[in-house]
Amino acid sequence: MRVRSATLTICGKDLRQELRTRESFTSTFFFSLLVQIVFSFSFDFQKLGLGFEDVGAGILWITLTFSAILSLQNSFLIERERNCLAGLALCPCDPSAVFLGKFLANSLFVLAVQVLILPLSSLFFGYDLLRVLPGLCLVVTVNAVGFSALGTLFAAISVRTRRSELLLPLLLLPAATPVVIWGVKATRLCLSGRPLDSYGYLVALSACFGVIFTVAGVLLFDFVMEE
Amino acid sequence: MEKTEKLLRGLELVLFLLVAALMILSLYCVFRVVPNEVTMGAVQRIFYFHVPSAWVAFLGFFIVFVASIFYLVTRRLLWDVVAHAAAELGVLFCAIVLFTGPIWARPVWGTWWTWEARLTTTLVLEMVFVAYLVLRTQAESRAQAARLSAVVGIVGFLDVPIIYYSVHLWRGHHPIVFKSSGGQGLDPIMLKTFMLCMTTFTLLFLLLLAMRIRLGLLQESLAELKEQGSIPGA
Repeated sequence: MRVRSATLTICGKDLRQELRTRESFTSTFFFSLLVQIVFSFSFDFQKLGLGFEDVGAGILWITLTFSAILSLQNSFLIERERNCLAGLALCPCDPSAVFLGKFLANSLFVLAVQVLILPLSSLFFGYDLLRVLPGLCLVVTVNAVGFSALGTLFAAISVRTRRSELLLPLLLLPAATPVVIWGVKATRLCLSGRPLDSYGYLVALSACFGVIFTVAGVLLFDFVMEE
Repeated sequence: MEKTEKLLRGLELVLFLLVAALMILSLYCVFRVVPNEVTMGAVQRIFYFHVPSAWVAFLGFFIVFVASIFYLVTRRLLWDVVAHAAAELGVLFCAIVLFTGPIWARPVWGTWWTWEARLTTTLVLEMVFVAYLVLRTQAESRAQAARLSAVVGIVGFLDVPIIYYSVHLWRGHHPIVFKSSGGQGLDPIMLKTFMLCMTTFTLLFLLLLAMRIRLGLLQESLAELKEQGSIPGA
C-alpha cells in the first residue's frame, strides 16, 4: 500500500511538472513529427509502389524508439537540476516506488505522443487508421510500456554519468532489441489487416519482456540511486 | 590483495606454459593434421578458432554476470575488477567471432553478413558490452562505476536469451558446421582437434583473465596510493 501511494505520488509529480512546463511533450512530439517528415522524403511511396503496410511498421517504430529515448532522457535530466536526484534518493519510501513512479510517468509520456502521432501518420501516409486501430493500440501500448521499463532503469543509470545523452541510446538500443523486433513484426501484421490471433503471441512476448525488466528494475533500482 | 596477487602470479606462470604448449599443438593439428572438409574446403578450418572464441566470449559475459551479483552483495572491489576484466575479454573474443565469421561466410554463403539469429545476437551482445565498457569510463567515481556497471552487467546478461529468441523468431537458422549424425559424419580427428582447440582457448582466456585481474588490482593499489598522497607529484 505504501509503495503504491509513493509510486502514484512520484508519477503525479512528474505529470504535474509536465503539464505546467510542457517541455518534454512538445519537444518529443515535434521530434516525432520531424522523423515522419524525413521518412516521407526518404521513401517516395508512390514512385516505389509501396503501400504503407510494407514499410509503415518500420516508420512507426523508428519514430517511437527515438522519441521514447528523448522523453526517457528528459525524465531524469530534470531531476539533475538543483540536485533533485538526491531528493528522490532521500524520499522516505522504498526505492522501488521511485522506479515504478518514474516508469509509470514515462510510459504515459511515450503513449501520449503516440496518441497524436498515429492519426498524423495516417494523414501523411494515407492508410486507414480506424480499421486497424484496436490492434495497433494494443501493440503500441504493450511494446511502449516494455520499452519504458528497461528505458527507465537505463535512463537512471546514464543520468549519473558525465555524458548521459550519449550513453542512454548506446545502452538501451541493443538491450531493447526484442521489443523492437516483436513490435515491428506485430505492427506489420496488424497493418496488413490480419486478425489478433496471428500476432497475439508477439504481444504476449513483449508483455513478458516488460514484466521481466520491471521486476529487474524494482530489484536493482536501489543500487542505481545510491550516492 | 597482496595474497591474491601472489596467487595470480603463480597461476599465470602455470597457465602460460600450458597455453604455449597447447597453442603450438593446436596450430599444428589445425593446419597439418586435420583433413580438408569435403564441401567447404580449407576455409572450414577457421571454425577451430571461431567456435572456441564464441564459447569463451559467452564464458566471459557469464563471468561478468556472476561477478556483478557478487559485487552488489559483498561490495568487495575484487569482484568489480573481475567483472571488468571478463567484460573486456568477452568483447575482445566476441570481436574475433565477428571477424572470423564473415571470412568463412563469404566463400561458403557467398555473402559477408546475413541477419541470421546467431550472427545478429552476437552483434547485439557485443554492442551491449561495449556500452558496458563505455559506461565505466563515464562514471563520476570509482564506486559508482562499479555499482552502475554491475547493474548493466546483470541486466545485459539476462537479456541475451531473450535477444536470441527474438531474433530467432525474426530470422532463420545457423548452419550446423559440426554435424555428428547422418551422412558420413564427422571425422574423429576433426572432433579431437576441435576439442583440443576448445581447451586451448579456454586456458588462453583464463590466462588473460588472470593477467587482467592482476593488472586491475595493481591499478586499484596505485589509485589508493595516489589518494593518500604517498606518490609525490601525482
